[in-house]
Amino acid sequence: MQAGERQGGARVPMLVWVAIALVGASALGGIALRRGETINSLWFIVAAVCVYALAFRFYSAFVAARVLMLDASRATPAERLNDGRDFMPTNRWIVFGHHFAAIAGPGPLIGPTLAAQFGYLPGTLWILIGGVLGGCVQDFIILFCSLRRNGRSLGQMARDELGPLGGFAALAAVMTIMIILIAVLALVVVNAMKHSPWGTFTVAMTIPIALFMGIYLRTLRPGQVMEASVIGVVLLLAAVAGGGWVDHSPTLRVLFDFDGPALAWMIIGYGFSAAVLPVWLLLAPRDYLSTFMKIGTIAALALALIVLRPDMHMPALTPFIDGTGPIFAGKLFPFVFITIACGAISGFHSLISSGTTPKLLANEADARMIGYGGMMMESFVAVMAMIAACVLDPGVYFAINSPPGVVGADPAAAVATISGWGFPVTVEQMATLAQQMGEASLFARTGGAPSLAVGMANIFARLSGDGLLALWYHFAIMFEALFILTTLDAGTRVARFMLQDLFGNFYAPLGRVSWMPGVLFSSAIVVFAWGYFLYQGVIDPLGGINSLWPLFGIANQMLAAIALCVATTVIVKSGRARYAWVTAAPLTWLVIITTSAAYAKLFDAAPRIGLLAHAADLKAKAAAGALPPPMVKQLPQLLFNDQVNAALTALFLLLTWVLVLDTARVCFRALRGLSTPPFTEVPYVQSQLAH
Amino acid sequence: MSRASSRTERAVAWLRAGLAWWNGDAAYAAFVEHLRAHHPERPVPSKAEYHRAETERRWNGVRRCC
Repeated sequence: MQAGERQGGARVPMLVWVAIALVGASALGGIALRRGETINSLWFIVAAVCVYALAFRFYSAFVAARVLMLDASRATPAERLNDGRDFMPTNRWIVFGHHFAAIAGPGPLIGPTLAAQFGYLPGTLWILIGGVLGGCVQDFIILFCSLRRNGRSLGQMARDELGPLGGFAALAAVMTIMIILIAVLALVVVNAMKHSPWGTFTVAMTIPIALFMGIYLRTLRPGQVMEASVIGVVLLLAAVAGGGWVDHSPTLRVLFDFDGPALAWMIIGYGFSAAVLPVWLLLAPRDYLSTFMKIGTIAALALALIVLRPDMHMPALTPFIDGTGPIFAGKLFPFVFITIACGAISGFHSLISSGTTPKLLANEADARMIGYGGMMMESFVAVMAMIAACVLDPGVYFAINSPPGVVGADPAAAVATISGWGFPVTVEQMATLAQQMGEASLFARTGGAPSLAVGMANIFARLSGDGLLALWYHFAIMFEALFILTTLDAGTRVARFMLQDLFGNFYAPLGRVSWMPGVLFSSAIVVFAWGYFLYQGVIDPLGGINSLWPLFGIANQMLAAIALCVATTVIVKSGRARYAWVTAAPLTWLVIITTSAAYAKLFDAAPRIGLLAHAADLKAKAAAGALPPPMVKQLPQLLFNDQVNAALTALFLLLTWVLVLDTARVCFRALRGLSTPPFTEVPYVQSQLAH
Repeated sequence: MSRASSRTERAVAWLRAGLAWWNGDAAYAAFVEHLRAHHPERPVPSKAEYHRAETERRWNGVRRCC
């Protein structure tokens, strides 16, 4: 408690903290022990807020004071290297806004929605515990490491502190995670737009709106970002309403009615254009729009949940914890920890924490609020997504999210299977819901976006009346698609830069970001790579999410493991090895879950889990003539997909272990006083800024 | 009376600062101030030029997460 008291604890008396702890404990106890028909979502909000408040007040204060020894008198890179642009001391609330907008993407919305198939309890506990002991700590400590190293990136720090092997592993991990991430997110958008003229029209309109904003900001009113953003948001809302009009017109609706493969090709084409077009034209204006919508909608959702306190219908635990779940296969352990990466611990954040954010901080002490606090906010978004998924009738939730390969393509068969699991749902109920939402069908709309949109529409419609359900549904779809596409085009561009950097070593002109053939060549390779996985997901009879989302989760957790390896090495080398458990404990947990998940994906005997078992099963069925004709035609590709996914999983496993062993080696040598790569912290300089 | 008016003034100033941050005025003003203080020999870019260069620069790294 001492460390906490020094950090301004006098403002809130200890008695209040005891009360918060008691309220939080009873809310958590209520969530865990409740076995009624429904549970009110207020329990979750209260439990989450208490957990975050206590963790921030005590644990982050301990990490700040004892482990990292944050020093407010030490000049930050923003102060020392101030160039007025990249490095610039900035107000801490503004940095917080930038940082949160950068880390919070579609991940914390989708992961919990999918993990709700286990019931609300496992996912919620992992989001809260994993968040405060894992994700927040990772973001905070990587931000600190980068702050003390002139804002260096994770890859550079891995190379400096661990050696070339660590640097290479980090680079390879970032590259592969980017590819898988883009593919799986694109798949989510495809599934949300499949045979939905309203959704497709609205999402398509975001492109001309962004182009208009780009031209507006470039030539009509240069630099007037706020003006352009307001115009953009108004146009976006008009596009949501206009989609309804398109949907009702028999001639127009066919123009926007596509199947999965067609949409996949369009997104591939879009990704390529976004990677090669100038940023001011498409990427930057899209990003302004998506940030605006993201912050606005998340705030609105939080407000609506607090005001309405909807009841949740999902049980605490479902029978699917045994690994037979329809949405993704695999047992509760380790798959709940893989499915929810963003929101609990997400390795990708370490790229942001060692990217723009450390170059803006004016005061080193603010790293706690921005690194630890920013991730707490994201974790709260994940809790809200979990609530939105569990507000739905479980039968409806499973009907929307289960792929036809598991429950049957025919609605009657699907409802029979799902009702048979003990989650009653009828064809009529689904038809009414689809009609209310302005969709042709809501069966087998895998990927999480449609079910989250139904949940959000249900919540928002309580404020507006059921008449606006369809509008809210498509607003939510547009909101998700908007920032998924922003991640997609920004990610493609970053991967292109990384590839050009790599190619530049072999043939210098390829490394120049302005040489058009080099740009086209490397963009094409990146787009081909994620396009391959996207297409594989679209044609997969099990819906694609089943195989790609775990792959993404493993990749993201592996990147988190790499970040925690760097953090642990830095703590050990700084002479505070007795506190190394702060990062070593979450690291150990991540290594356990990624290793078990990767092992299950490779070698599990159940065809829905094990990739190799799946390939063998397909072959056996083909030999016995038991495959339906369209699958016979795709057989070679399906087998090849399994092999690619298996090879990738094996690569992840190998990279993780190489890095963990390398970290153990460097830490051991540091503890023994043997030679290690040098500790690269920049020496102390007194800050001249008055804090 | 005077306390209330100073509170209003502060609120207006706060709102203005927020707006300036949103529409990019704040970043531009800060950059110009930095140039004047540290590199008086360099030309001061117009807001349009600044915005153009900033957009290019900002997109050369990881900006968005999952």
